[in-house]
Amino acid sequence: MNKVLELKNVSKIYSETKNITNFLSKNEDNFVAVDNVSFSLESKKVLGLVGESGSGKSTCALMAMKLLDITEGEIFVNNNNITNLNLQELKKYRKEMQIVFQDSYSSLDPMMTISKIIIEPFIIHKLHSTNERNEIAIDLLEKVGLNKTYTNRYPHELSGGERQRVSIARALALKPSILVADEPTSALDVCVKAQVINLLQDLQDEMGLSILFISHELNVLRSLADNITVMYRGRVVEEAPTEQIFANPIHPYTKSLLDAIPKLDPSLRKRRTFIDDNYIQSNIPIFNLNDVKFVSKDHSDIGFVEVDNNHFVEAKVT
Amino acid sequence: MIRYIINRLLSIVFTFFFISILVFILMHAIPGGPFDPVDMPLSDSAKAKILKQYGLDQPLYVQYFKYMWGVLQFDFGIPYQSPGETVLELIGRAWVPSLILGGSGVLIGAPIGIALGLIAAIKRNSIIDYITSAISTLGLTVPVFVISMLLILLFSVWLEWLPASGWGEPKKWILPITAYAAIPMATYARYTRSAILDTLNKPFVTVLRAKGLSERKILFRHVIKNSAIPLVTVFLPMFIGTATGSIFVEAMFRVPGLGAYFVSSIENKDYPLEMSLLLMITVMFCFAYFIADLIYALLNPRIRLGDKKKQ
Ligand SMILES: Nc1ncnc2c1ncn2[C@@H]1O[C@H](COP(=O)(O)OP(=O)(O)OP(=O)(O)O)[C@@H](O)[C@H]1O
Ligand SMILES: [Mg+2]
Repeated sequence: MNKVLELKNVSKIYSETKNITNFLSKNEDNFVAVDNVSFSLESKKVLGLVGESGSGKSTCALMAMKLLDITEGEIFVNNNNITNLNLQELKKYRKEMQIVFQDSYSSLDPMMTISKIIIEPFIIHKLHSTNERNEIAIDLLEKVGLNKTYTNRYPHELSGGERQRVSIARALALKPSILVADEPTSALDVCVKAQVINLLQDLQDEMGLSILFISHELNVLRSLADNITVMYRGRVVEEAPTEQIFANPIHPYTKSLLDAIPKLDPSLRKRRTFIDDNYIQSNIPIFNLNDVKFVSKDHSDIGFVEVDNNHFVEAKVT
Repeated sequence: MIRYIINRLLSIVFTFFFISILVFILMHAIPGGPFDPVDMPLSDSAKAKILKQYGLDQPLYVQYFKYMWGVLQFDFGIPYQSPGETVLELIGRAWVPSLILGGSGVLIGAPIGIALGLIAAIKRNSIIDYITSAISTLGLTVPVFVISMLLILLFSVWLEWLPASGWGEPKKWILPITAYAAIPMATYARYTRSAILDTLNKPFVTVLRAKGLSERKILFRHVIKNSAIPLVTVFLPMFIGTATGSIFVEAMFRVPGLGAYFVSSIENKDYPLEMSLLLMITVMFCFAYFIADLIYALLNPRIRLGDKKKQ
C-alpha cells in the first residue's frame, strides 16, 4: 500500500504565553492537544478521522499540512519527510495537498468575488494565462455543481452549501492528490450534507483523490471512508477498516460514538448516551500478550495492539 | 443608495432637535442663572431688567423656540461673557488653535498608532508586541494632563528646548500637539492590533497559507483590506471626537482655543454659547458617523445600500 500522507508519533503542545507577566517569568501554561499520534492515508482512499469536539482532530489536520508548528514527530508526504522544510521548500508540496474547513463563510475572503477566489491559487503558483484561468474557474464551478453565473458574486451572496462547493472547487484548483476535509459538512443541513458528501465521493473517483475526512459523527463516514481512525483526548484509541469499526468496535469510546448515532428503528432507540469519561477510563480493553501483539508501547502495560487484521486498539496488556 | 442617504439626513435632523431639547432642559435645570454674580449681587429691579433684555423672563419653551428659530437662520445669539461679538464670531476665532492642535494631534498620532498596531499584530506575543501594548496602555490610562506635565518638565524645565505654554509661534505648538497625539496613537494601536489579529485568525487566511501564499502577501492582499472595514467605523468618529475634545491639553499649555469656552460657558451659565458649542459637536458627530457608514458601505461588498434584491 502506498501511503500519501503519514503522521508518525506526532504531538502538539500548545503553550500559552498569554500576557506580559507570563512572558517575563517564562511561565508557560502547557496543554497537550495531540499526544503521540500516528496514522496514515493511503493512496486514493478515504480515511475518516473521528472524535468528539476538542479531541485534537483539527490540530492533527493542520500539522499534517504544516500549517501549525509540530511539537514532536514527523510528517511524510509521498514518503518525503516534510517536517523540517522551510516555507520555500514547502511550496511544491502545497500544490499536492489542500484543505476545506467547516465554516464555509470565514473560509472565503469576503472581499473577493467567487472567480477571484478560485483563481488565486493560479496567481500564487504563476500557472496559466488570464483567459485560461477564467475558463478553468468555470470548469471547476461546473465540476462542483455550480455554474458561471456565480463567478461575479461575493461569498455572502451564496448559501452555505454553495459556499462549501466553492471551497471545494478552490481546493481542487491546483489538482492536489490529497484533500483534507475538516468537518466540511457539519454546518450543513441533512440534504445538502448528503449532496456535498456525494460530490466528494464523485470527485475522489474522478480525480483519484486521497481524502482525510474529519468528522465528529461516525454515520457520516460509513459510506465514505475506507478506514476510520478514532481519536479521544488527543490520542488515537482505535483504528480499523470501516466495516470493522461498525461491526466490532472494541474501545469503549468507539462504542459510545456508535451509540450516539441516531437510530431509525424506534425499537432500537435508546436514550441518547453522553460520553462518560469515567466509564471509558474504567473500561479500557485488556488483552493477553499471547493473543495480540504490541504495535507500540506507551507505559509498561498500555499500548497500541493489533487485535485483528488491520484492526488496532489502545489497550492494557497483561 | 439615494434613499438611504435621505433617510440618514432626516435622522440627523431628528437627532439634532432631540439633542437641542435635551441640552436646553439640562442647561436650565442647573440651579442659578447667568446674572447672579456672587461678589456683587444685583438689585432685584436691575436683575429683572437684564433678564428681560435677554428674554430670560419668558417661559422656557418660548425661549427655546426663539433660540432655535434663530439657529435656523444661523443666528446663534450673543455670548453673555463677551457681548461685543456674536457666538459665531467667538467660535470662529477660538476654533483655529483647537483645530490645529486636535487635527495635527490626530494626523500624527493615528498613523503612528496604526503602524504600531500592525507591527504588534504581525509579531504577536513577541517583545515588540509587549512594548507596543505597554505604550498604548500607558497612553490610555495616564491622564493627558500628566503626560503634558511630564513633557513640560522634560523639554521646558530641564532641557529648556521648548516653551512651556502659549500659542503665538509654531515652536510653541510642538509640546501640546505631542501631548495630544498620545491618545489617538494609543487607541488606534489597540484597535488596529485586534482587528488585524481577528482577520489573521480567520480560516481563509489558513487556506491561503495552504495554497503557498507568503505571509507578506497574505497581509497586504487580504488581511489589511479585511481589517479596514471594522476600523473605518471606529476611526472616523474617533477622529472627530479627538479633534474637538482638547480641553485638558489646551488648559495645560494655555492654548487660546475652544476648550476654555466649554468650561466657562457651563460655569457662567452662558446659555447661547453653551448651546451652540454642544449643537456644533452633535452635528459633527452625526456627520462623522454618516460618512463612516458611507465609506463602510463602499468598502464592504456585504452591504449594498438600498439594494433590496440582495439583502
Ligand atoms: N491555538 C490554540 N491554543 C491553545 N489551545 C488550542 C489551540 N487550538 C486548539 N486548542 C486546544 O486543543 C484541543 C484540540 O483542539 P482541536 O481544534 O484540534 O479539536 P477538534 O477535535 O478539531 O474539535 P472540533 O470537533 O470541535 O473541531 C482543544 O482542547 C483546544 O481547546
Ligand atoms: Mg476541529
